[in-house]
Amino acid sequence: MLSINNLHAKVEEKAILKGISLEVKPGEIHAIMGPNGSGKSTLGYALSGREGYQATDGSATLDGKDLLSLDADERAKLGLFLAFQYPVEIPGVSNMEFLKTSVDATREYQNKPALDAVNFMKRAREKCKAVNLDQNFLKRGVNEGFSGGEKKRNEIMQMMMLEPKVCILDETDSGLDIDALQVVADGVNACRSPERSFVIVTHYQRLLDYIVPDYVHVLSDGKIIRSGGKELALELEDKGYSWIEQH
Amino acid sequence: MSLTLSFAERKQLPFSDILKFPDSGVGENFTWLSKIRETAFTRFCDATLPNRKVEHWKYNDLNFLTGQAYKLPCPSSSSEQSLSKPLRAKIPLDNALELDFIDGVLITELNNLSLPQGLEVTSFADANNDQQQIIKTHFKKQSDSKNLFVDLNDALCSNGILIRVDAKAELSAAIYLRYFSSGSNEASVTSNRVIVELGEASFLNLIEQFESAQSNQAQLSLQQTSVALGDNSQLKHCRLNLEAESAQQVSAVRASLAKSAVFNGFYLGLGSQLNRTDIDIAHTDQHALAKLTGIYLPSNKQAIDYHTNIEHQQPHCKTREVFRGIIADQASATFNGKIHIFQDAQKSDAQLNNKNLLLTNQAEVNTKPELEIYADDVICAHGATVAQLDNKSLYYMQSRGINREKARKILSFAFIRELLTHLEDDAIEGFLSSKFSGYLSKIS
Repeated sequence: MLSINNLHAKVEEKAILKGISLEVKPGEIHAIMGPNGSGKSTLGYALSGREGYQATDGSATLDGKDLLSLDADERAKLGLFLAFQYPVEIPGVSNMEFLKTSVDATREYQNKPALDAVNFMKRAREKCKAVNLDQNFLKRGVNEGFSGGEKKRNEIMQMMMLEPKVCILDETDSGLDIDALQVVADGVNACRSPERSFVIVTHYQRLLDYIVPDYVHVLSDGKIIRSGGKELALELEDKGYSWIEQH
Repeated sequence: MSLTLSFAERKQLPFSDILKFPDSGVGENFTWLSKIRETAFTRFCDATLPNRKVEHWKYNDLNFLTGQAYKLPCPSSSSEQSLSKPLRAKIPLDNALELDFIDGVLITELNNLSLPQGLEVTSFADANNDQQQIIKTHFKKQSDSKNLFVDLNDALCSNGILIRVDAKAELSAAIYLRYFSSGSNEASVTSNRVIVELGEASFLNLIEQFESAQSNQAQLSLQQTSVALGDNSQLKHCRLNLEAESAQQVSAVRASLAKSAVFNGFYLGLGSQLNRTDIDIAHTDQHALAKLTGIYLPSNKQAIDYHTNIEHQQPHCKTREVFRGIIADQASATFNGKIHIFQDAQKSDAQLNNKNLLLTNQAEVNTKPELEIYADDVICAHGATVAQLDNKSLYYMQSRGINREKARKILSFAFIRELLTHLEDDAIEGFLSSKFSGYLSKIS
């Protein structure tokens, strides 16, 4: 589904990704772990098409379609979703309007029938409930005045509404307490399907107790230096990143 | 006329052709207006055309005035136009008294109107002595304004309307003034004057809508609406400038607030090549409240300018002023908001805020909030910002499948949306949303 081949990327003239190769097949969950500065977030941004995160070499395709030549909105419409570590606040645009515009745009692109207002609201309310967000949040500005945990849950809610093919969760667990972590994990697990894959970028092993990965990769200085099954995460927890880098 | 070389005396005299006295209106008892016009004309002739070094006019390009001979539109052509006037958008108001003006001239027959109890609408030509006194007072008030366009408007004023609301009358019908500049095949200037008097404890909802035909000749419209609010009276004022791009308007709104009066003004600048509105509000007695909300949306090469001046002459008055602008393409905007608190005006409470959004690198805005405070026990705050669309927000929307163009539009509209709630009028809000869609679709 998601094929990354020798991807290099730079940010502000500095090389951050130095040759990442990764195959994520449908239904799989891959965890990417690594110390600060290893390039974890850069990978997400480079795949999603954020300005300033330029791919300088290599390729990335989704279902065989080249991602890197597309604008960020086209990549999203193809089925790529990035849950941000620090979601931005947009007062003046309601969560409702934001969600509806986004769902309409993606469904149209994917030749899915449009959701009428009633069905949309029904679905939105369902997903609100699933991530423990109050119904009123739909009327408020996007992420306006939300706590960190609420923002992360909003990201999951958007993911549920957009039904993407590949979901990259960028340190979704950072700043969350146990309860919020449970809600986020439940949300992600509820979205698991043989047609959907996840790339979970995280610092700590803890989230992986709740969302069990099929593969774990260790990212260091812009390259994947080790790959393994879920036990690798426990080994990391036990021995630390520097040990893995040296061995 | 003075000996200095005023612009009226220069070779290219834009208005000389039309300033003939005493050509005022009908009937002998109209000479009282001639006197006012003559005085205004003298003041106008003594004025020099302001240049960029004059602070008050620094950002207005007045070159359009020189090198053109402006004429008053021919009255007969005005009525022909009125018969075949294009279907213009009307605000679907439930209960409104509509007065139509073409090229500054009232074409609605006042005699055919059935006015609600407590409301009087008179043309200057038909004003009785009492009414003449009221009208004269209003003209007198702005004689020191040192605004040559106000003087010119007065000089050209051959008629106008006086709207009076009786004490305690709370009119449920709105007064809806629709102005249309028909354009002609020559550069033309029109003049219009509206005077409103609100009796004690009365209420009026006044809506003014300006439109024009697109024309390749300069059309300059001069207009002034002045209001006197009596004790405890309330005015809801909505003024929409929706003219075609070829139009030019220099206008003024003046209001004086008596004790505990409430003024709630909403201003929208969407049309015109050049649009300058001077808004002067005076708190002349205690406990008055002035609320001003403004939105300006110049695009293409338009220049929209709002100059506001609020005077707290007496204690315990409150002002809340917020103007927001989105400047697109190569357009420009000017906002100059002044609040003047007199020495005796203790416990004044004034807030002024201006926010601007620039959509392109060529868009320009000049913003200057001014607080002049002479009392020492007051609460005043002012703020002005200029920003561009936030890239992070744009990217966030794109990452959810919304293309950049659409994202820009959503964010732009979001910038002014909350100000629309200050209108407190669903009919006008609905009417404006189609205008905004039109605006959003033509800007890049």
